[in-house]
Amino acid sequence: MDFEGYHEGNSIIHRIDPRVRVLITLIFSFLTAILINFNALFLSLTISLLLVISANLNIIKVSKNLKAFTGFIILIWIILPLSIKGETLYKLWFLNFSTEGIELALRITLKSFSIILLFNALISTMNFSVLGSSMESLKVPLKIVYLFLMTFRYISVLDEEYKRLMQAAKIRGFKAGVNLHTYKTYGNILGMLFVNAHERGNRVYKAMVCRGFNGKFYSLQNFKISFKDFIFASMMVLLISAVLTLEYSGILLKIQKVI
Amino acid sequence: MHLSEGVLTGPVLVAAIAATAVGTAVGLRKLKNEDIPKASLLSASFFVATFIHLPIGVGSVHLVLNGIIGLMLGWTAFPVILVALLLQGVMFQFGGITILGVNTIIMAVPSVICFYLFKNYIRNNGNTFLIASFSCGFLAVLLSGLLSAAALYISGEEFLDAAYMLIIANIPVMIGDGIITTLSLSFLRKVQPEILS
Repeated sequence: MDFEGYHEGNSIIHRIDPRVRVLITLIFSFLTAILINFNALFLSLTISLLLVISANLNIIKVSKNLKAFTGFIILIWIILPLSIKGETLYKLWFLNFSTEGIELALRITLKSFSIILLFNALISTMNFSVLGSSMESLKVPLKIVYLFLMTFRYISVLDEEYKRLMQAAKIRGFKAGVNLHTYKTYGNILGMLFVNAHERGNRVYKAMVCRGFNGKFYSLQNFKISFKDFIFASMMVLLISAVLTLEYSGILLKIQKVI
Repeated sequence: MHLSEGVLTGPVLVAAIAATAVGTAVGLRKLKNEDIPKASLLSASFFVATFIHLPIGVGSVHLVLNGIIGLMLGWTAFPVILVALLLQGVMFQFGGITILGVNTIIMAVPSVICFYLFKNYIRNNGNTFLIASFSCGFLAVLLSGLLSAAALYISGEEFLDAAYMLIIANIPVMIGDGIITTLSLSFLRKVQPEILS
């Protein structure tokens, strides 16, 4: 498994305080998730794209990451225009493509691409320990932060272990098929994975206690808000208000029409 | 099982976050400091296990395993699933922040329900064990499917068809999870029964 992300870059975005990035991502994502107005949605996607560009991300890598997600979007474009009843925009034999369905599919597409690109630009540009410590300094419960950091630490270890067990099965002639033997093999491999995880968990805890663990991880991260963080945050607040204005002005127009 | 970002409405997202906060708070209270490494290791093993492709019929399915997670962790399943989902989003760079609350509820509520329903029956032998463990795996995925369908339906009645499709598409997963839960529980009972207590 390859989880490199983009934390090795050195763009303007990479140099912004991680806590500011996490906060902006949270605010901006939730705002985008509830947008209805198309102008607001297009602006939000544009902002995300600008952030991706200023983070200097590898575009090929970004589009590779989006590939699996694009499958879901295509599915939405197949299901929604046909299943939602409304004004018919286009009729093909017995298939009705409704305006409402297409609007909804477009809205979902814009929202999700905008949120994911934002995430790529602001969060995938920091490594896990930095993300962990910024969660800690943003008052996320410590146990959650430690679960997060330790789970991440051991995913690759357990992945190796799983591969080792599978390899052992394959050497003994195991071939997956639809039969009880296959299910038993997977059941046992999974059970063995849990047993190993459990044992290793006990060992890790003992090793931590031996090294003086007292319920707290000490971080070498030292966060400091600087002038450029302030500029970045204010710019983002300005852009967020622009998105809000577009969304809100749409509603105002509707109210005026009703009156 | 996941819902994707950008589909659900604001009230659903917020309500799910509130519910996740409550469940996670209960789970964290039950999670002692010395159990954090063990919970993390189990969380990592579930993370790895969901990549297994299990052949069913003509295709293959990804396991969900939230039934067995519930049996091993009880309420601690809440923070563990929350963290695993967050990690998935960060590691594969598809985010999932706004939908994190909803997805945690979808996965963790069935885990806790299965924990209370089946924790005693899986200690029995013979058919009671087989039925209980299969139902545990099957029901957990079914409940997850129903919860995701409900989240879609509450967000908009126009998602009704998609919600039905989601449940039907997950029937093979329910069967696969039922079978694997049964078989790996019977392995665990022989090899290391204390994991389940």
